[in-house]
Amino acid sequence: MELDAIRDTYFAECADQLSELETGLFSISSDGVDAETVNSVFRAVHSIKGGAGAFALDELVSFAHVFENALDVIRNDLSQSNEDRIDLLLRSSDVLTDIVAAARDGEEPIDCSEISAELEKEFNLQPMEEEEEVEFDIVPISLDDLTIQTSAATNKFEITFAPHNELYLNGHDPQKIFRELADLGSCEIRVNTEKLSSLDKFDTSSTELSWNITIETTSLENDVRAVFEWVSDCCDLQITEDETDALASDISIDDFLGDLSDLPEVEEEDDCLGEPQESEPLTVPDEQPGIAELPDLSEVSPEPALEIVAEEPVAEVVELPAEAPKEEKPAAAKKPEPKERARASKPIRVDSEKVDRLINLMGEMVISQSMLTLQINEAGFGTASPTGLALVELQNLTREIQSSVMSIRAQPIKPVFMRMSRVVREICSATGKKAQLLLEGENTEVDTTVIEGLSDPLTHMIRNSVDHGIESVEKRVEAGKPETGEIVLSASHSSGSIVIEIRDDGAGINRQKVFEIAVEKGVIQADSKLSDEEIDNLIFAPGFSTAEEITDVSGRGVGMDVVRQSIQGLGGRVSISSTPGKGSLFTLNLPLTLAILDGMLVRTAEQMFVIPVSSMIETISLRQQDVFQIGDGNMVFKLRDQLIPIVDVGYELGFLDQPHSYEEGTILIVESGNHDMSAFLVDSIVGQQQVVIKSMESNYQRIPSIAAATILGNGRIALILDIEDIVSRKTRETPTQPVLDQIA
Amino acid sequence: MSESNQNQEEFIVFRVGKQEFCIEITMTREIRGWTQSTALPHAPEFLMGVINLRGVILPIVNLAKRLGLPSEEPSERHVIIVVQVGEKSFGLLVDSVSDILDVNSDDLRSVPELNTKIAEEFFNRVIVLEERIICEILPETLMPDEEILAA
Repeated sequence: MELDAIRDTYFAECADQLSELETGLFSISSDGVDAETVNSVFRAVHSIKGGAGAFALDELVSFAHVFENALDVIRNDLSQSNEDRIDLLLRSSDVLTDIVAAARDGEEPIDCSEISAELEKEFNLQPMEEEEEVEFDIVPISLDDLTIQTSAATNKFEITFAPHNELYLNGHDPQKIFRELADLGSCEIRVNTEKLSSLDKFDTSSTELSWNITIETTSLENDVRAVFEWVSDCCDLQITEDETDALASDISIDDFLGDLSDLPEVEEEDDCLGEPQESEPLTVPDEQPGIAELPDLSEVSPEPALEIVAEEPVAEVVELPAEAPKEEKPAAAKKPEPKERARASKPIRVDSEKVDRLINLMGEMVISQSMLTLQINEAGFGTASPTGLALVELQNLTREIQSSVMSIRAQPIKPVFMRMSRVVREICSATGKKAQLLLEGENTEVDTTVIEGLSDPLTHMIRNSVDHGIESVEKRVEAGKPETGEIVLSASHSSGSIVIEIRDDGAGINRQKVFEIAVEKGVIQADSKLSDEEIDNLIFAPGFSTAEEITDVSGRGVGMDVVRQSIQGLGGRVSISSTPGKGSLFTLNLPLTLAILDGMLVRTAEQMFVIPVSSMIETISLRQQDVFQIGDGNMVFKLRDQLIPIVDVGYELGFLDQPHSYEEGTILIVESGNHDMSAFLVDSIVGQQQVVIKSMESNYQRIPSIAAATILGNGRIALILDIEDIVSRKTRETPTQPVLDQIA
Repeated sequence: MSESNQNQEEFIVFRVGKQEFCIEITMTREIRGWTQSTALPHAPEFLMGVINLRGVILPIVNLAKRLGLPSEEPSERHVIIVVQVGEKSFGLLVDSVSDILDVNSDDLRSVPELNTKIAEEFFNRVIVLEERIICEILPETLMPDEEILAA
């Protein structure tokens, strides 16, 4: 049982290592080779191999070993890398992924002798027995290399900084200077109290403190000097580039405090204060009244050093002034980088079900909150009353908790994108075409449910792009394009939704062929008049597949309509635009999260509906003079110089027998996927609120025009409108744009 | 659906209009009072809409309308029987729940040839007792098919 758990952990880690491996190789193939990436790739394979040994996964160990040796060749000499080799390594990583998967699921081991042999041949590897021992020696070396590389480029400067009185009189502040220095690199700032007169002779208007600063930075001396540019007239400044530490002049804070505690009056205060001074000497300048009485001292006291330390993640430096272990300083200066890295990413593995439960509870909380809001409003508490204010506080908290909870689920889309690079490789080798995948915005964070649901449609679309979009090498050369086709996969956030684009520089859509096939398959009538855009989008129609013969790559009888369905299932939409000869662009719009939505609550036909705020542009109250009739009962709304078709929500959904009177009501201008605007007519707007999305499908089925449902504060259900669907239903009966243009 | 080896089966009996119907008690989840439902667009007439059952969206079938019987406006006297078919649940609006019956397999008959579409479509067996005849409804037949909605 226990071993199973360890095994699970191993395979979970394998998944991480594999993705690291693939990411690394991918970046080498696109951005060129660099030592750091090669090292990380090497480490990934090595860890997989190490763990595999423990579980006696011999196949895996031996292949990982060959793989590792091949990588080692490049690691030892970066110039050994070339395109073919990287391509081979990428394919090897695919094989490694398969072997790991087979080992995890207890399937038959995959035969990898072929690719092993290929690797051995390509990289001139020697038989593995001989290398076994050597190879384990290599690992620590690789880590050493790393540390040296990260710190090699730094310069070390010794700075002596003694401000004159004018510096303070001119309103400068050493603290700010130190902070600026700290931005350049890791700083060690020591106050020099040599000249400080004893407290009884203390002159509050004169400056007696100076500082010795050691800074390790990648910046040049000029950059360091620039920090002091504004104060160079009113201080003594010395900047030397040095290897040795000028520690002799350093005076620890203990000495400084020692001086202070010699003073009788301060000691009295100490007695009253008791322990704090003893246990936390660094905080003394702040808390001790004896010092607070001396404005200058408190300003220029070691406090600045303390603050800088707080900004820098170097814990050691905090301790230094108090204990002054001088010998350790150089060591402390070296440490920050690894330490910061360790702190930056400290992921925990949590069962996704636990997170889902948290999200569900979050949803219930949003509902309870809106119930509470309703009750409080009905009880007549104003927003300025204590109850109202507490409610606002609660609402803010809920929002904050919600976004935190959502961010737990949000993950970079990278893993899915990386998988696509494998898809491209596989299809290229299956079709003999040449294509290259470029990724953009792969760190865009997306809800995990969306990510999970994206994998299949994306795979299908990428396959499609290579199979149908990118031309064969000969045709590309003929058309004057580079031999290798380019597919760009990009992700970005755009006003509350995620936009994913798949752009290829292939042949674009053959509209005539698409039209013929659509007629042949009975998707459209032979005499249909369609715009280019409409023809392009025919490929999403059910029962449509452009492949003339069914290839094993993308034609499997299911066409792009399956893609469209799965995207819609995620609450998103997909569209295509294409330029013949230039390529096609698929655009996916996906919601940020599948759990909660910012909704505008509207009332019409005696029912409440929710319209997603993300698709709303503005709201206007209806005036009769802005409504025009076009043709047979189609109404348009004149908004500034634009004519926008009116969608009477209640009538469109079949809740009203008669269309709205158009005498009163509210217009919501909404935008659908292809930037078409519609004017949604409702009785009134109730308000904006966050609503929890409840699936209609879990107990029922998909309903036309309805995206989902939600539960309102009064416990009733309101339907969330599917803007896209309503508009597309409506446009089938609305006059086409030319008619509208004429009237405008 | 063969006559079970056990002699006894348990049914929940309810009333719609003047008639009594029943379903197997194992298919019911709970019985609750009527609450106002939210109507759905493009839905068949017998589908009253959806209600909130502890955070779950539950579609409600008006059984009288579904069976083509005269129906009255639902009021607080009406009752919703929550039924589970496979993964999905839905509510049945009925006039009242009248009984829970242990029925001997001897008392279960197949539906006589009535030549009505309704009997064919929804009824499974008939319980024949001394002074009562109760038709057993197959809940899975009550919900609309996907095609009906798509049309």
